[in-house]
Amino acid sequence: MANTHEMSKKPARTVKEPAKRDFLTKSLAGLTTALVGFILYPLGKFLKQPPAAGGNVKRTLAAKVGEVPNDSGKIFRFGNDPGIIFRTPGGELKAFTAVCTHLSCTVQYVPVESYILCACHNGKYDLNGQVISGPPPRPLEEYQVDIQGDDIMVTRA
Amino acid sequence: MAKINDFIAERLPLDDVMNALKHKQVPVHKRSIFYYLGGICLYLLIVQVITGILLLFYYQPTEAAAYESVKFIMTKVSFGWLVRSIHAWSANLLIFAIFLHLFSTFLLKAYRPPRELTWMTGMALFGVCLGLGFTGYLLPWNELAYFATKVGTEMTSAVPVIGDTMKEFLRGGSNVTGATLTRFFAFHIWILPLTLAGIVGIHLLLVQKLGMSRPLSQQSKPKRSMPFLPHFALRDLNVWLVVLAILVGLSYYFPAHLGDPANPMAPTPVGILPEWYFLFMFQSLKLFPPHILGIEGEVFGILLFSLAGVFLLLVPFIDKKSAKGQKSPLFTALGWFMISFVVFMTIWGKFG
Amino acid sequence: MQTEIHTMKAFHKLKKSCKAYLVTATFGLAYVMMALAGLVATSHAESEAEIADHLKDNSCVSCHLNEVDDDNTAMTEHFLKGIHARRGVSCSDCHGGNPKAEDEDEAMDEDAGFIGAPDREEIPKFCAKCHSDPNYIRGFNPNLPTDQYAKYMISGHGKRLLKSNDDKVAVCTSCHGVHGILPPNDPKSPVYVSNIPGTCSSCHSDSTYMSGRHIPVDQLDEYKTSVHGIALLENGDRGAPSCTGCHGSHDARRPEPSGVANTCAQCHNFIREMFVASPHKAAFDEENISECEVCHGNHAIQKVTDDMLVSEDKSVCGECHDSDSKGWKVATDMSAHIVALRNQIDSITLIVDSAREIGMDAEDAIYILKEARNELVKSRALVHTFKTEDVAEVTKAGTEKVQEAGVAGRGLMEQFHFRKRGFLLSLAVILLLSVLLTLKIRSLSGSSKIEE
Repeated sequence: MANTHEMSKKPARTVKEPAKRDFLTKSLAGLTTALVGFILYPLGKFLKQPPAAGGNVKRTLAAKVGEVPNDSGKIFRFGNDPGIIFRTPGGELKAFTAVCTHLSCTVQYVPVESYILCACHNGKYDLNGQVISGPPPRPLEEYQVDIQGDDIMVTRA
Repeated sequence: MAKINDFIAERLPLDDVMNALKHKQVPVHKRSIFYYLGGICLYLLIVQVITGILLLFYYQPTEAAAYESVKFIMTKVSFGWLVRSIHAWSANLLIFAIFLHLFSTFLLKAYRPPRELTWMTGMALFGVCLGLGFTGYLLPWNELAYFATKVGTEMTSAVPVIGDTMKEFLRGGSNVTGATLTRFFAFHIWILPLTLAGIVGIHLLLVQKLGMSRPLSQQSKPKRSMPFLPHFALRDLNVWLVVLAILVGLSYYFPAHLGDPANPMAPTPVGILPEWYFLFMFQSLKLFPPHILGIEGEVFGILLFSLAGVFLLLVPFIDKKSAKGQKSPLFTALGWFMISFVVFMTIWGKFG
Repeated sequence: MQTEIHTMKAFHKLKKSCKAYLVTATFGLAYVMMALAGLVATSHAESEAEIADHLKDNSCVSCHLNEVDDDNTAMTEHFLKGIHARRGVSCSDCHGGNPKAEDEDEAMDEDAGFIGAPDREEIPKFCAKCHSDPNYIRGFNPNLPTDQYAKYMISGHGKRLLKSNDDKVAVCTSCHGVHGILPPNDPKSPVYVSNIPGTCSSCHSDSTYMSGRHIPVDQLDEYKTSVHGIALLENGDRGAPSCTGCHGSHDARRPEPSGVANTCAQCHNFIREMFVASPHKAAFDEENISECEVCHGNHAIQKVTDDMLVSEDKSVCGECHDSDSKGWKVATDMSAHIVALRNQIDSITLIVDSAREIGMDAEDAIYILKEARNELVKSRALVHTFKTEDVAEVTKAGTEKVQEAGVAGRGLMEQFHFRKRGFLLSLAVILLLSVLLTLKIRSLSGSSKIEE
């Protein structure tokens, strides 16, 4: 090792003004810091849990148990489409797609008379999703409902 | 500060390591560029570990949730698309870099004594990385992954005697199901990475202990070298920066895609292909006639590939000439043949 | 095993039918027959074996089935598959004659009441013998109406048959088939809802057959292009109306202008309510204009467009209202509100779509846009009130939704541009760092030494 001697291919650049060298080192340090920032920023953002929602989901939280008293309904978001959950006057929980089979408006639950109504063209469905009257050509697709603690969960096939 | 340094130095033999590195020399010659490949592999591996751990924050390894959770990562999680895309691209680049590293080492005969073990651990790493690629591909549980896995695991049943048992073990049943997914997850997250970490440790230790091999062709020329610290290390760093730029660029312009969710009931889509790094095997197996020498063509093909694997693994002991420091044109030719074979079959498989 | 199951089934059926026998002794026999028929039909495949037991000793069936005349054989086979044979109604119940008699002449003795094939104009009465008898029909199906004959008599078909002695009109068998008549809920029946357009058009689209009738023959072609035709024939929505949905079935005829709105209101009741409450109602009644039809047409009812309010060539409002009238102003105003909302939705959809295409998570924005479209559909229905303020109220709600979607969509684009800036900037940092590092490396001394 002691006998090794300089063999730089290019003319020696060792004799450089200290100022220039200082600038290079400082720039390197600065840019390295910037790069670390560019890595840490997305990293920090990534680690922050986003609120769960949307998408082509098969199962979703439709409502809290207390939100749906007897003979009332609620619209919930199921993936990219609305769903409807309601409790019949008899106390049974049911869920259907809320997309009317006529022109895709969102349906609603009508208390007292207890049926599902699409307000766009007055299409009516019974509490089994079957068409009672109005223009809808097909029944509403039914979803499965189960209760987990305080959550009403809805599942589609 | 100095006190803390002293405290650590007294308890950890870091100084020894630093001294060793300070004295480490890297040969300088016409083929020096190939020394960067190992570093690139190591770097990509580190990227894989970091991004992999990040993905674990959100990924759910169940049949019902896998696809949705990957979709969640891609759409809802900030920079989730970036992390997953980098993980996917880095995986591909890693395997590509390993191919280059392997073949350059082969052609330069760097496996000759005393580096037989370095070569063999390297071969093992190659195998483990292929396994990681294969198991990781299934995890998004999309259609392509599902059927690629089905075809891939089906092949193991061609292995004589234990084939069916192997297939059942990999699949966790007779078919690719949610059970396969949890298994592959275990392989991808624990078993293979742990194995990899162990072998990488030995591989690196051997490289440090034995130093870089100077190719036979460069032995006659004046023996130039540069210090590892800081000269070569900085160059390594520079190459890593370029690789980072490539990774980020690929991830930005070609983000990892999600595809359609796996549907075991759906018919196998036409033209389903394994990942590109398995294509050369896939394509070759298709070429075998139904029966060779009284055994099934596919079985024969798999046997042949296994033999080729064993041959590659043991090449340091088979190539007697280079072991003696003589030129070994037969093995050079063999190396070029293998490269052309892999390249040709891959292209044929992809576009043929 | 198989036979065992069948025997069990038959046993249960028998048990059931015994009960029925006690309740309605008259028809009990038929039920037993059905039970036995079920047993026979399920255990053998051959057509001969499908004959119900009560028809086993029936000389009509046994002779006609084995006749040399293929037509008659086919007729008998056809009959055996129909609802009548299945419910135990035999040949002689309609045609008279004596099925117990072995001798041909004795079996079909006209003096003993054999009718044979009725004349075409006699067919409605022929069927009505049973189908207009509520007491008789009740035993088979308590829900089957018995007013078909009465209705037929007021139909276009029946009136011509009765008054004009025109027998080139539809009689029962024209639509229901002859011997192997199937119930209307059997998809193979010619009067199954999606088969009705084809059944009616077999005469009504035949220009030769319809010559001299002075009614068009292109109803089916028109219907196929209509929203109803597409819903029924292409989408298989059995709730969509076929010909009979508007014209009636047994009482089929051209609806009166005053009746058109009620016909449409069977489904489109909401529109009807709005229309009735509007000033148009009185005006239309006065002029005897058929309400829905005058704007929407009949057989070829197309998907409505906003052009139908105000446009160069498609405006239906402009058919009656001059451009300086109050009505035209209402049309223009309603149209302005609706078209404005539609355009807003379209332009935001473009933004959201392009954001989605470049890989952004546009699901929230798409969901809100759906809500906005909901309001657009609602506002379009409300034009039938002919009140600008009613339409405006809904379009306003829609506009709010669109703006919400717009904020979401533009947010996505901003996010995308942020991504792009971040990418380019990070790339610049990496490459610049690499350049500086290269300079640094070059400035190092002793980068290549010769070893001993």
